[in-house]
Amino acid sequence: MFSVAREIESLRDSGVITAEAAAPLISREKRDIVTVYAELRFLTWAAVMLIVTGVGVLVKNHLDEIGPLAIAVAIALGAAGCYTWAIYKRERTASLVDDYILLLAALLLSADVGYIEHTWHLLGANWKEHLLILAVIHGVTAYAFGSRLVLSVSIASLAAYLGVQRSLDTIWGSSRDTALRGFVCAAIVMAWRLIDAKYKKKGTFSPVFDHYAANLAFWSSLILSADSDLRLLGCAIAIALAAASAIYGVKTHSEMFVIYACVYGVIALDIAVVNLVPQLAALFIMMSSVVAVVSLFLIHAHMRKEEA
Amino acid sequence: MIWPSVADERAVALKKLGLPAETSVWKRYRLHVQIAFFILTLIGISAFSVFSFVNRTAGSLINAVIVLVLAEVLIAMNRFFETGVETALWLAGVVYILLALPHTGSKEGILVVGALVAIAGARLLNPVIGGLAAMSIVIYAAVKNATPLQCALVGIVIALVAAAAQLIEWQRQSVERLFQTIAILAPLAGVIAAQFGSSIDHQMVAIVYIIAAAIILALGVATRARALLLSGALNAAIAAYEASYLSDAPLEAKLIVAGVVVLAIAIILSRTLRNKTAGFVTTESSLTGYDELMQIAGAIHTSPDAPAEQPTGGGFQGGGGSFGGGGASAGY
Repeated sequence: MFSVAREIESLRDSGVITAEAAAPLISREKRDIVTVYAELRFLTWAAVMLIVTGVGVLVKNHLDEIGPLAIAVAIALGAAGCYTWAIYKRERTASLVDDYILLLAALLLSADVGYIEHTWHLLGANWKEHLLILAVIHGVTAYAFGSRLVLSVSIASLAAYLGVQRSLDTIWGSSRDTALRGFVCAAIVMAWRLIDAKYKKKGTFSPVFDHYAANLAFWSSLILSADSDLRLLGCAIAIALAAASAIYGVKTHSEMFVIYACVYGVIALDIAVVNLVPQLAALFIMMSSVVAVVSLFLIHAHMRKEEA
Repeated sequence: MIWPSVADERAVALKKLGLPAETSVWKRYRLHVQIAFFILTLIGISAFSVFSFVNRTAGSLINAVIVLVLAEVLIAMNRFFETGVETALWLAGVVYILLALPHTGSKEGILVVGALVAIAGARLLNPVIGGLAAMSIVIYAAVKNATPLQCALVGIVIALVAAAAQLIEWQRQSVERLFQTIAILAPLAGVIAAQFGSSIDHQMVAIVYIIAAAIILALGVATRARALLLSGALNAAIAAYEASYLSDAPLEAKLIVAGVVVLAIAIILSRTLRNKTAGFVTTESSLTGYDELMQIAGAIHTSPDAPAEQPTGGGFQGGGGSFGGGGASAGY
């Protein structure tokens, strides 16, 4: 094992740090105290995914034997049980498992509502609206429980309602429509973020919205660039977004947005140049990545200096 | 200085704890920044690859020399280490050398690949690259027609040796992380290699993995090494997966039962450790970079699939369950 307990002890003995400050650090280094918080969260997430996948296979394989009503009722009961647990635990000491039980409830509810709509067509021609209903339910749940995980499910349902897909076919398929839907979704997420920041002062969900909106907008612009007629427009939007992301990242000291700017910006720039001057493609790709690496180094160094 | 000294690595560990220590001359970045530099560098290197298409041997050798010299210049002159740039350059160098080498089809070629990756890992003191290099032994066993059980055993023996290495007090954190990475990757490599073999004895494979899980978990608890707990849990999961072949229960039942069992374990552990103040505890860790990465992973993971088109006719058409779209894509 690796430990710097000796160094901490010598810092304490030489008076650089107090004994009170050194004690927890030495305990940690000597592994007298070891937190397994992340491991337990991962274990719970894995359990939720196993159950949800199992329910998916159950629905697919046993519809004829069990019958649609029994399946719908069974999943609903599972979801209700998880929601009951979450509500019960809400009034008591919070456990790190609780958030994932709530996630399981949300995923089971989504599966059940989707299944019911698919089987009985309750909404008829407006069948897609069940996704919007789910987005609202999950959104309300996320705020009631302060759950980022359920908020992610809500945004995912909203995106699905708008027809935003996650597959390679999306990029090479009907790129124009998909890109437009992606931009609309990103705009709604941004509007939601602004309302959230204004009215939810404590424990805001802003970072979740920021990352979703940024990725949706960047991907939509790159998807647009797959359309030969609108390639340059897609690249131009991506480059403009990259500039905005870089400014936002520097202002808020968020490295990730600077990284988004560099990576997505370079890809967009390379696509544009390869399209316009294919003879210079290799040279330009090399040069642009060198420029991006150097820019990222400089911005990162600047941000570190400011933080210090 | 060809790489950070032991004192430098220890000073960095102290700094991470917020303690005063000598400032490192080496440039290091957090994981997500490294990934960004790695991707950008790879994009740049891809432009080089045109030489390899013109003349595979000579072009690849020229490319290898260029990227490796550039990596060494950046390490020596600019003190790049753990930036992502030098990692991408070194790995690209390895790939170019492999492209330049004659392809004889010999199975020993796997060991050559492993040796080259190991050199890159050692040069960069990179535990992930070093761990991947160690996996070449398992792959070699598989291509040399070892039985599935033998492949699994090779993976397990490597994992056990790496787990036992946690008992030694290492001066460098990178060395400790190398063994931790191997302890996690080797069982996975073993079981994947075993799946490619014919007539796999699931019962025996499950037994050896459960024994390995017990040993590694015991070591993990004794040394309070989180990586060993993860490795032990992984071995147990593999054992459960192999044991599942012995049951005639349908897949969905196995998945749901496994999920409920894992959830129960998580709840029991969470309750047991909740009020503890020494030993294993469940205090929330405050790794902000990790949190941010989790958010991004979550954003990517839960990006939805579009809902399947609603059938207009009556009756249900079975086949193809899907839980995209926040679990409601209706793609049954």
